[in-house]
Amino acid sequence: MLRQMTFYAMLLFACAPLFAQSASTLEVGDLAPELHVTYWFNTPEMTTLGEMRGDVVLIKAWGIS
Amino acid sequence: MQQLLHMNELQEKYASKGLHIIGLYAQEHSWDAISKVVTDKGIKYPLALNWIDDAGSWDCATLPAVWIIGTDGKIKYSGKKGNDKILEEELAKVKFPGLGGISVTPELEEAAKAFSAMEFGKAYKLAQSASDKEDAKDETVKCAKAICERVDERFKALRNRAEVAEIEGNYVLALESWSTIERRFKDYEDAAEIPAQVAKLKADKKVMLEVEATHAMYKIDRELGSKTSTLDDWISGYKKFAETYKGTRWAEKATATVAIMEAEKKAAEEEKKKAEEEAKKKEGGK
Repeated sequence: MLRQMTFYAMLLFACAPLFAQSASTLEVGDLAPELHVTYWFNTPEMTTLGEMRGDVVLIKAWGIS
Repeated sequence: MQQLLHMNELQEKYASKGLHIIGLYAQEHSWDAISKVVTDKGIKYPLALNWIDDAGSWDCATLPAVWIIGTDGKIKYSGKKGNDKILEEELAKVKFPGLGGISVTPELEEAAKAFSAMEFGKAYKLAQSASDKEDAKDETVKCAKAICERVDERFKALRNRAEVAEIEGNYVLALESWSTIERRFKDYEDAAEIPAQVAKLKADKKVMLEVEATHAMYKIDRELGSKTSTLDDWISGYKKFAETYKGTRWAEKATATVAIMEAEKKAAEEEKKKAEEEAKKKEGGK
């Protein structure tokens, strides 16, 4: 039921966990694609990777369980 | 969880040296559960709760996942634990955070430092004043121009983000962006009217209701998504939300989604009824 329900959430949001199953791995040397965040907790001053270009960015995907 | 604490340490140690840390929250948990971890662990870095990744580039299927992006915008590390050595090697390439490859002359070090501290208005003024000196060397003039251009670029990017967000009705991001401009571009000519813009938005009740509705919608969606909610739970949750935040953009979206859910519910019920009738017919025919 949860999978079906997430469809409705998708109508409202671009919900990251929903795409977690269909991923392709980024490899060392690849140009980092833009990350289009639609909702932040502790919003950063620079919200796109393009704006952070020239600096170093550490991205960590995690969850509670 | 140890890694989360280590990320905090890295943030503290390297934020002023050109490191940006972004957390991607890649599981479906309630807002309260995430909020509790953020508070309990004292997470200081920004956390993306929703993002668009149609190509599936940021692979979150197996957690945790860590990427380090270098000064050239390329992936330097991709794995599970992170790599402090690679991180430090990349950070060593950043002389003045935010200025990328711009070579800074001694006369412009203060301007560069102000830029790195995100005091963009001050950086612009200092660069301009160094460049305006009668005895300014060509290299200094060139470097000052590059710093001023970088300030202009940063301003335009932020203003553009704020304006687009405002047009789209994304007032959370619009307010964040305008407030950032207000804070970072003091004494910058083009930003003179921004404080009035921020005050105007904050005084607008409709805008503030949209802001409240945005937070509430993400919260309710996470609540419903984090447990085994039935279709009726979603319908009732969204309906209640639409009533509470009537007139907002999110209420409209919720109402439209409810209509789709109800149509699906009706179709499922009819299908069930049909199947039951057919089963009865079969039973009667025996």
